[in-house]
Amino acid sequence: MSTIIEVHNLEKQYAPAAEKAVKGISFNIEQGEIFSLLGPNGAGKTTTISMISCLLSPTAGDAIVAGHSITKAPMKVKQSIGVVPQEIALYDSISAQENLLFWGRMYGLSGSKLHERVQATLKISGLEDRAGDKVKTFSGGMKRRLNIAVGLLHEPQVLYMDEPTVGIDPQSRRRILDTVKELNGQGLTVLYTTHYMEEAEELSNRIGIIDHGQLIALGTQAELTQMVGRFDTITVQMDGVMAGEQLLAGVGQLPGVHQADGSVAQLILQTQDAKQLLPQLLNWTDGQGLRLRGVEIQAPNLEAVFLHLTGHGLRD
Amino acid sequence: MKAWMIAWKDTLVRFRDVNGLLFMLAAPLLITAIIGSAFGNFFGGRSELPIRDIPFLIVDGDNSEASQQLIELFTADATLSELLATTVMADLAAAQRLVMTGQARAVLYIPAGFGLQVQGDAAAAGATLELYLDAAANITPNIIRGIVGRVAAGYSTALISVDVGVAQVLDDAAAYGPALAGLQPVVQEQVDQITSQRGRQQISLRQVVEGQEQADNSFNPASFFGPSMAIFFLLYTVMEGTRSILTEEQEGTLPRLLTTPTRPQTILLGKMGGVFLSGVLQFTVLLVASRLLFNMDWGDSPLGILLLVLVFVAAATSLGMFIAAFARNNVQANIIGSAIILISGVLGGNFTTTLNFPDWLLTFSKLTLNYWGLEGFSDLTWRGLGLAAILPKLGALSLFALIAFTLATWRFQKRLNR
Repeated sequence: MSTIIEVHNLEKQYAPAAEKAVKGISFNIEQGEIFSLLGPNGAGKTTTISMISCLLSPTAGDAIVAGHSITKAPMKVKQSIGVVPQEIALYDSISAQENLLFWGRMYGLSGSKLHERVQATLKISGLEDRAGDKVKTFSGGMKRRLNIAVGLLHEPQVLYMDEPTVGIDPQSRRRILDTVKELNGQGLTVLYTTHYMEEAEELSNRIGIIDHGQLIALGTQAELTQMVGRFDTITVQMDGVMAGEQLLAGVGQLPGVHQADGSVAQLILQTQDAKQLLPQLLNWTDGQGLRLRGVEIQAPNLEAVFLHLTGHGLRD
Repeated sequence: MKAWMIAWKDTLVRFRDVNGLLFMLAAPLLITAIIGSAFGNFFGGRSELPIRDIPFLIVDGDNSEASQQLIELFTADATLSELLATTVMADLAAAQRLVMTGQARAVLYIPAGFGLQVQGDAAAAGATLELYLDAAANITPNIIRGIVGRVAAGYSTALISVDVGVAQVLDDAAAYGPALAGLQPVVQEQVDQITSQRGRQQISLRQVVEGQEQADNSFNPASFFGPSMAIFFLLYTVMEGTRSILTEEQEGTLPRLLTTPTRPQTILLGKMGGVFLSGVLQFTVLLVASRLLFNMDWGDSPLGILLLVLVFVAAATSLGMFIAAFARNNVQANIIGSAIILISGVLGGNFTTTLNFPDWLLTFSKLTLNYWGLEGFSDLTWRGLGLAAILPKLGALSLFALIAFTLATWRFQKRLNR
């Protein structure tokens, strides 16, 4: 596989006195893979994707996309990429078809090629029957699908998808994830950002974990989970009153607890043997007057990796 | 090509918005109809004079044949008599008291020796009429001043001066308000008749006749309020349109546009083009509708109207882009834009004539697009002038457009290239 995106020490500082939003990120994306940037809100995912979409100028560093520098040849980079932004960026007072025709023209398409691509993307998004309807009459999921269709109009070499499933129903999310896999199956390289661990796990060939503007881990899911060894994750939901620090200090003294994070509402523990720890944990919480609402045990996953690397959960 | 696509898309979006269309087209037509109706026989296309029986006094201190002829000019014609309730008095002080107490609007004093000065050997030295106006009134003194100026001009341009700035009145007689514009030909007819009988002042007479030929002999209030409302509501459309670039920035379509292989300059040009196109279409629809619905007379210079519409919309678009470019966000642009529209509407003469403005206020008025636009349309419509008359207005609007466009483009480029 050849490298289609090379990111070199990319930095972004919005104002001279402000903290850097992205702090010298470097990674490569191979042609034909799905590469996910996983991190919590505000980690720097959108800033990174905006820089390699040529929407923001980097403060330092560069990226080569499909052989073109984002700083020296932004127009050539833009021709090679399709961007699906986090927010739905469509004109809702015109129809789906009119939107696609407009955006297609912005990508330089015209004539029969334009109409052919509009029909093809309507088919991909499953909106052929609603092509003539105004976008404002669409459900959130339909808008999301059309939002993706716009990014595919000009048959880009790479598709950037910035948290495309935020705020939609499970059915639409499922459909979008299936579409991403289908497109990738046809050879399209995808750069996918998300703060949903499950999506990154399901879709990605490789994952870059990003936090506070830094890439803190990079690899396949197997490579990343190996970083935390064989720790299980126990997630406990409770009712009751106890200060967070007191709770973490208390459970931290239980034998076998490797790491603890969270609060009474949701406590996340890492341990080498969940089955052994669980009875002791239940005894302790009962003794503290905390009522158990739910317990979940997970084998090593990206959440655990993130917790291991940062000391806090993905959704904190 | 891409700029045109953006402009066309924006125009399509704007003209599909029913609420927006009501505001763009129905509101100005409705307000024009309401205000126009208040001024008389509006829907019939021609109105009667809205002001009548203005108490006007003449004090003849000369009692000569010449002074009698001058008085006849004010009293002989039926229409003029309807407008002015003229009373001839002998005591100047008593007449002045009537004006000061608001019982009369003006006194025209014909001083002793007037006849000799205009007819005798002393004619070369010139004669002076004195006009005392009611300072508390706004409209009627201007009408009287205009009539006296025109009568004086016709009677003897070379010899008579009225010491209230008649020279200016002569230049701008038609500009003293809708009522005076309707009266102008009537006065001219009287002057024409009397001066012809006397066989004098051929040069000034000829000037008056030429003016009469150019001007329509009646006044349609739509000719004033049509363009006025069109300009006022056009500014709203333009502000709304130019704010759309901030709306797009906020809603994500502008950033998405910037991820396509389209240059920021092209996007900016397209956005401006869309606003310009919508503005021109709006003005054109209002122009045609006001003609068909209200029989409004847009003058005899289609080229002048076309140029004025294009240049005015360009200037308004540039102003809107300027505000949008320097505003922090959509909300701020909306507040600033609305304030500018209202203030410039009042200052520029959309709601009240600027003719009574003191000089210092007129200076501020001239800083608005509304003033130059309205002056231009007034020249072409109810003043009955041609293309040459609006060239200075086109120049002022073009200069305004150039400055605002340059600053807006500079600022937006900086803003888009983050």
